[in-house]
Amino acid sequence: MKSIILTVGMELQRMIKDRYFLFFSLLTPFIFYCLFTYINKGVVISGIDFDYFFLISMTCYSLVVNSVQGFGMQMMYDRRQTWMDYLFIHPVTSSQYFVARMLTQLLLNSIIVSVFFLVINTWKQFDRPIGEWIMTSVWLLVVSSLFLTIGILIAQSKKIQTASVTANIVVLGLAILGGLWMPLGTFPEWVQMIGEWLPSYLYARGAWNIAAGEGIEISNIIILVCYFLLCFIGAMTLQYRHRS
Amino acid sequence: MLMLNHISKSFHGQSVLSDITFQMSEGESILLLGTNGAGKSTLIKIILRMLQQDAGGIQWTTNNPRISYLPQSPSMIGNLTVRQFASYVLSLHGRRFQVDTVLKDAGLDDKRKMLAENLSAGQMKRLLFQLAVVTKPKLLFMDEPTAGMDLEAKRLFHKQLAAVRADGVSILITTHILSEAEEVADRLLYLEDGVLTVDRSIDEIRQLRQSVCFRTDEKHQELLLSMGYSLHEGLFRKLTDDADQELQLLIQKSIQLKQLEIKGDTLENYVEGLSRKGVGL
Repeated sequence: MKSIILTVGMELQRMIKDRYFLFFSLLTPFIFYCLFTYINKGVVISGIDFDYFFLISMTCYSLVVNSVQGFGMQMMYDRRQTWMDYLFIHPVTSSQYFVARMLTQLLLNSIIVSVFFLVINTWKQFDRPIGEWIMTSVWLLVVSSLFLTIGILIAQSKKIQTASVTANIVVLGLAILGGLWMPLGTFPEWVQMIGEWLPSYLYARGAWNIAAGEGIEISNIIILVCYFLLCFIGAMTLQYRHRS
Repeated sequence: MLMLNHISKSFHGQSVLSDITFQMSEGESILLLGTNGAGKSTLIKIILRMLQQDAGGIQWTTNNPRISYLPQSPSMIGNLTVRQFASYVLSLHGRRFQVDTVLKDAGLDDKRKMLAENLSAGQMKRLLFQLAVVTKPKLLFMDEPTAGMDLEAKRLFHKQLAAVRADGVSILITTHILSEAEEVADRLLYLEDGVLTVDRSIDEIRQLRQSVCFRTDEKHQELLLSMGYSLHEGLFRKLTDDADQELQLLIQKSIQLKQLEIKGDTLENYVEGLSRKGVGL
């Protein structure tokens, strides 16, 4: 446990200095938020004020970027460094290190959620109960582990270029087709049909449902669990193949 | 302290290590050599549990012995300062309080705020060596430890290594600088195409052949060269299995010997001979 805590501390020190994290996971979604809410003033989507609707969208987008692109690419780079071999001769095992990395990412994701919710709520003054904020935060954090497994899956690529291109395509696909940049209703019907099955859409929809006062649909949870299992098994299989 | 029994390893059907068996005693210092691709790194990785062998076993006489490793091409954890890196590694061993001593001894006191990944290879090795020493290992693995170090760093490294040896730490070292290795190692292991072809003590190697070295009149030059002597700055030199017999031969030929010196063979000469021809145990 001591090794995991120390490694989480060390990883946090690294990540806070990571310009990629600061720019793509915090600054870019914030700029998008300012821009899109300015364009869509007074718009209401599915009974939710656009400012709040898009706060959910951009928080989801930020978590997807941080988990898939940030975490995935970091894993990929680290795997190629000899310090990984050096590290495991010290009192920290590869599984402890892996757990610490996952915990660090979840901590970073909780920082993202807190920063977005605090800053934008201070600015926009949403009149929402504290229970709803907590429920939405828990949902966003728990489901972000699915996107971490997608990141691990991408990190199994043989070449850095392949991983980088795949991560970009996956993040853009999840963001655009999943309705995180623009509401899904603005797309043609056939795109909507695809988008409704994407994990990013189901992820944001859970939070939108909480905002609309509806419960999270069981079918939504089941599909996301299936995605998680699929990605987790895929990542573990590929990792096992690499090792053997 | 460590016993390797019939270790074998293949990659994609190609044998990299075949039936490697040797043991290492506590406090012993072993030099591991071999041609490029002979399997040295694979063997080290198997002992360090970074790779799993296909066959054979490794036995340790002590439970969970503390092992330290100095890689040939070290890299540092990205986005951490030198102090943060050292502090993290030491914390894992409950020795965070020694961070200032480590940085000072590694000569990196003024670089504590620099990103560790930006250190030169020699500086990284100095830091990793200090971290290895402070964590009190039972076994220390070093892959080309002085490559990239300047003269002063090398001198300091050898001084500290002597202290580590005096503490009874077992050492396994690979290096191409054999003159340095000769001072450190007790025993030589030589790998050739994944097979252990030599397992001999350095003392034994020194006694295998002797170097006969002397000066004499120029008139004997042609005869001596025909007898296999080399000539360098007026000094005739020959490596022989039997120095007494060689001296008798020289006396028989009435060669007057000046400044005669008979020395044991050097590790460098021995290894040079190994790399030229296949050698059996």
